[in-house]
Amino acid sequence: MILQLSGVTRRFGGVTAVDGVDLDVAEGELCGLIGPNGSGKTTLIDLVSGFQPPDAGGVTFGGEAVTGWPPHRLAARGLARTFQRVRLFGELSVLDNVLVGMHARTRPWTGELGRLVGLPSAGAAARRREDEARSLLERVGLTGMEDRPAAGLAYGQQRRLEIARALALSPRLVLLDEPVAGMNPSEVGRLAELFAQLNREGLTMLLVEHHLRLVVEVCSRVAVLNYGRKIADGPPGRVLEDPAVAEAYLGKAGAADQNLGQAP
Amino acid sequence: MQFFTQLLTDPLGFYRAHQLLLAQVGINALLTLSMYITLRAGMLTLANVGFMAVGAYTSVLLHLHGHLPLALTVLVGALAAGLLALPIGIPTLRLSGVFLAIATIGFGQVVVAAILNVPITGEGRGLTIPDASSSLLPAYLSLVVVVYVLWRLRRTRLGMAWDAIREDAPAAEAQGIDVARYRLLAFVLGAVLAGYAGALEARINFFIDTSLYSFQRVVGVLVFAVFGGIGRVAGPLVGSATLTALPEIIRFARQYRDTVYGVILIALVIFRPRGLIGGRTGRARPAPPRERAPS
Amino acid sequence: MGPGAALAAGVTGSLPAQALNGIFAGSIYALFAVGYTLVFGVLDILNLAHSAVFMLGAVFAYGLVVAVGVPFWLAVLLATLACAAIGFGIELVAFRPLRRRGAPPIGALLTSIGLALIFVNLTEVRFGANSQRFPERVALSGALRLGSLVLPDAKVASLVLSLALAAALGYVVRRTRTGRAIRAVAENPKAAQLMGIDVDAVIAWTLVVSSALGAVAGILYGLSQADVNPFMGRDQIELKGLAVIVLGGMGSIPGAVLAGYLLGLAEVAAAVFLGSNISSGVAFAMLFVALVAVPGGLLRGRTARRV
Repeated sequence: MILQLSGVTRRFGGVTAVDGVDLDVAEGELCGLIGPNGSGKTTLIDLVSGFQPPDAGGVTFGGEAVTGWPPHRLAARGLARTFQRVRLFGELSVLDNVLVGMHARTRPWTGELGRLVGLPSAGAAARRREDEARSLLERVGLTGMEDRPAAGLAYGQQRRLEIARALALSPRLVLLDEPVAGMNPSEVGRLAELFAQLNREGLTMLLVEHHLRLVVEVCSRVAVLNYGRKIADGPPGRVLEDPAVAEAYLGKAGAADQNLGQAP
Repeated sequence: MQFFTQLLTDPLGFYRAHQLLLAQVGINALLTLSMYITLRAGMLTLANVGFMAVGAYTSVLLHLHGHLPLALTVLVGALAAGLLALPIGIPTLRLSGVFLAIATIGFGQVVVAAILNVPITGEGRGLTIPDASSSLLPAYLSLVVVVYVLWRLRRTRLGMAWDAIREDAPAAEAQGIDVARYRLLAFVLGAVLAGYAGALEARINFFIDTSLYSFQRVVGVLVFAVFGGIGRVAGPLVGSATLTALPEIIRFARQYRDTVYGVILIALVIFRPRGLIGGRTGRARPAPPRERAPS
Repeated sequence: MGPGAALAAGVTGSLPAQALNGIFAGSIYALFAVGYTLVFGVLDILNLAHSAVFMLGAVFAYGLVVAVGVPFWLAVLLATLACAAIGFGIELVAFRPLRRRGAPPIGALLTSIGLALIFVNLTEVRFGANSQRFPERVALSGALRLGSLVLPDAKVASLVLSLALAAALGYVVRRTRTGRAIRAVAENPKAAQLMGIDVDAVIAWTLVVSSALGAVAGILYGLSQADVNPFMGRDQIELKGLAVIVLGGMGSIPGAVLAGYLLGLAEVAAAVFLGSNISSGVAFAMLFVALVAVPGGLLRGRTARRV
């Protein structure tokens, strides 16, 4: 188990956004996390990635207890995430966005002084990083855009850049928060292939999404949240036929006559 | 115009006539660069002038009472400013935006008030420095070093971390950058540089008192920084040089200097916000999501 | 030296007398701060031209009385109206262009600084840098006597006016339709616009009212301190106003009033117990502690926000 959540809870004033959630993600899994709006999915991602502290419960990552760790520490341990609304370094170039993404993997001071003075070894290391960044951009289909400012990219390209940046951490686990929101079907298809490919190469992913068809296609397992509680957890086919899940999305009346296999 | 013709045709004469002005340009350049450091890390901190005062007074007092050579005391002054920046920065840098600006302004005022109330500093009367020297060398030599370092720093891990923090701090955090620590580092380095500039400035004047560190000075440095922009290291240099020399250049309208500053500032902010404000001209930036119960 | 410190240094009266001085000083701070905080509450902007308007109110009133010979109360009215118009100008020049371009609030901070520089400089050139005073006996020159206490009329007027105007403003904001529109814009300008509120008009009125209040504060200050000069906004009130609105909670009108009086009293207390020089630092020490320890301010305004 690379990620274990036990009884994780988060409250805001009177609202319990996440309510005693238990979730395990095994290494190499591509796990989906779905649920209607307001069910606590993004809060859960924030809790796992350190952007919010849980009010109760614990998180274990790679066997280490990481409850309450700040995001940068988790990132240094190999936990990457993307954001629900794209958060790029707008004024920096596409390439620089990925290079900065490698921050946690570059050595602190030796590199600085080397670059300041112009040491050749520092320059060589920088070139290696740049090569790696370029190949990451190639994976997400952004070759040729390296020098453009990130803010100038089209929306779909920005999303892909965010993924490349997350991959720059050489992560053990990637949390993807609605990565295909607002994309057209062909873009979604491309990303689905990318996720599947990355997963085949052994990358563990937790995919929060509304796009149910994507989730069914690439995830080996799906968990469902409703009002902060986990109400289902298992293979996608079984989960989507669970009446409780249909009810959560559609209410009692609607559940009866809807086919959840369609994208909403 | 006469200003420029002399510069070109009679550089030596120009130097002799304007030595103090040139020294002040160098000092202001260092001061503006201290602001550049924090601005590049995404923080609008207005404490530089306060740290200037710390550097200046520490340096002068050590010289007058400790009889240490001025050169050494300048370094100690800079260090003192940096050390003070730690306990100030840690709680203050948790604030952001306007609140950070206000808190740092407040800090500057507290420094001035402290100086005014501690007898050894001469309080309101100020301190006289018997052996000041208006040599340009220390300021300009330092300037070259500082500019070089800052320029090279841009492509290093540190420089790019600051860029990332400026652009989007949570995203930077998610990529492993310890935002709080890097912000503090920028703040402390800015303080050291400001303290150094303050101590150097004390060296070229025969007299220092708290009027050098007023809120107006803070506004002045801000205007220098905005004028030059922070897109390039050269920005602060251009800004501080032009605006410090402005009263000399427009001798005929000297009394309207502040009006010129004001007009320039407004025009720059409205029409060319690149650099200080960090936004692309004209494009509305989406606001960062607020801390509310999200979905 | 602010009014509090100056008074404390000069007056060797009893403690109640000192406290009274603190209250009078506080009433100026409060009146000034209310306008300041109103703009912040509605626009999320620190209008650093406010202190220049404070000064312009006093200078205009002085000019009208001394150079044109207008009766004092008429001069006050005209000066206030002029400054209200200037407030509108501030909105047009410093704030609206930035809203149109989607600039962050820091931009408005800078443009307001620019306007302040211009206002003060032009006044300095036209008016001269020296302090002037309103002619003796021009208005409010008497004093009430209460037992052993002397209450100068000008200072009593400051007290009364600051409380009355703040209360009036509070009433408008809380109980009227205009007030609701103001609060809507303060909460969420885009939503307000969608509800049919003319956001630009609301903002313009906010600046107009705020500047009018600032002008009145300036006139009262100039009168009670017997000092009108181009730098009167800059020297003390500018930064103290800042301290007051932070302490009171940015955007809270009652908070600004409370904090204004608190500061006036604290300054006098510091002057009495610690020596008069300290008092200028008191404001900022309080501000600094407040920001770091209690970011919401004393009374969290309904529009108070962490940026």
